Amino acid sequence: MTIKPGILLLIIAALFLEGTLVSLPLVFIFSLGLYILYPEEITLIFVFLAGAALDVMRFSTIGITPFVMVVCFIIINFYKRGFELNDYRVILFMLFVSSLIYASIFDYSTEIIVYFAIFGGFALIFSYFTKSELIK
Amino acid sequence: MEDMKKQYILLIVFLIFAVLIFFNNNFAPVRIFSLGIQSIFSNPKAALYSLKSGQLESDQIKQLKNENSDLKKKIIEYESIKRDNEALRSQFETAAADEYKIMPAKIIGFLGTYSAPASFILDQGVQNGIKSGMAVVMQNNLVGKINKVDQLTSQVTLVTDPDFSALAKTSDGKASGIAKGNEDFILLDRVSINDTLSKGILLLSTGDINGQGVGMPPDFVIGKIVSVNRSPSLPLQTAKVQSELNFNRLETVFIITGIK
Repeated sequence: MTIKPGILLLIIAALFLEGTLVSLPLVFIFSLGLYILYPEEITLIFVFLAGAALDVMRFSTIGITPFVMVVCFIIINFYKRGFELNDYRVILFMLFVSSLIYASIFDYSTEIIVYFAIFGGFALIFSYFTKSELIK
Repeated sequence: MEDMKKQYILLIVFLIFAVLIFFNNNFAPVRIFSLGIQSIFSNPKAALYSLKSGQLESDQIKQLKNENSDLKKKIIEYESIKRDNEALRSQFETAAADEYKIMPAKIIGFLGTYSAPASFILDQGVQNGIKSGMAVVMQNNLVGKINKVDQLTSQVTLVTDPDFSALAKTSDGKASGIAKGNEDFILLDRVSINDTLSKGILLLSTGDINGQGVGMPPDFVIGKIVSVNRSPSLPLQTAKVQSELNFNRLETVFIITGIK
């Protein structure tokens, strides 16, 4: 059992929530998390389409979010070549830093306490799932 | 190693594809995709946004929400319709309705922070006759200016956004200058030192409408002057202006589409 379908659903939900109930880059965070855990072709296609949809809804030039996401994926791959990316704490730290940078560039909320709370929550969930071996 | 190489090639292909889309936003398939996304997301996002402003609107609703979740949904729906009706009624009772053609638009999203949005996304676009530069109002207050327009949606830059600027004058007619957004307030800039600026005076739009009736109409309230920054040694003075609107509570706004 994997958590992949769950993350896919979270990305779809994030498309609705971003800009209506929250001003956090949820699509970006979940997409990066999905790619780190499942670097597959289908992930790329899904994330690419989600990014383009987000651009449409945010009145950004269509293609900018997929571009940034793919650049982030390339950086993640470079990191993977140098180091083993298996520790969820390193993954969360990378997500935390990259989402803060993304938020400040793309006009999202950058309240650091909120980000600490979110990633703290993720850390708890990750530690639970890794113990339950739901994340491979 | 082979897998990694394949992965890089795939990422480069997607990167090139993203760049191609970026530079060809008017390409037919991109436009169709954009239109499809707007039609799919427009209504659910409007409903979600009204839920957000509904939460802020009434403490009574908040209390009821805690008591009964089913009843909560009905109350929010009812309040949303009621607010829409009130907004429509009050808007059509103002002078603006007599002089200008106005079109109601629902807010379906925002950009910027939760507490201080920089712009709103509206559910009206090119197909509804919306053009860039049209003013957006709420009763006699100026909400902002249409910045970008798509087929079914449009983006309005709020008066507090740093990208917003408009000619402005005080309600007593003793000063004029340029109103610029400054994140959580509006700055009245380039006011001659000889002009009289007073605290508590309303700042109105001077008006700048083109031949097609598109633009900023005169005499809409931009905000109220809360402080004046004046130095006798400088040729110009500035004032800090606060909008009379609580942007968080808005659900429906009105686009001025032309002159009657």
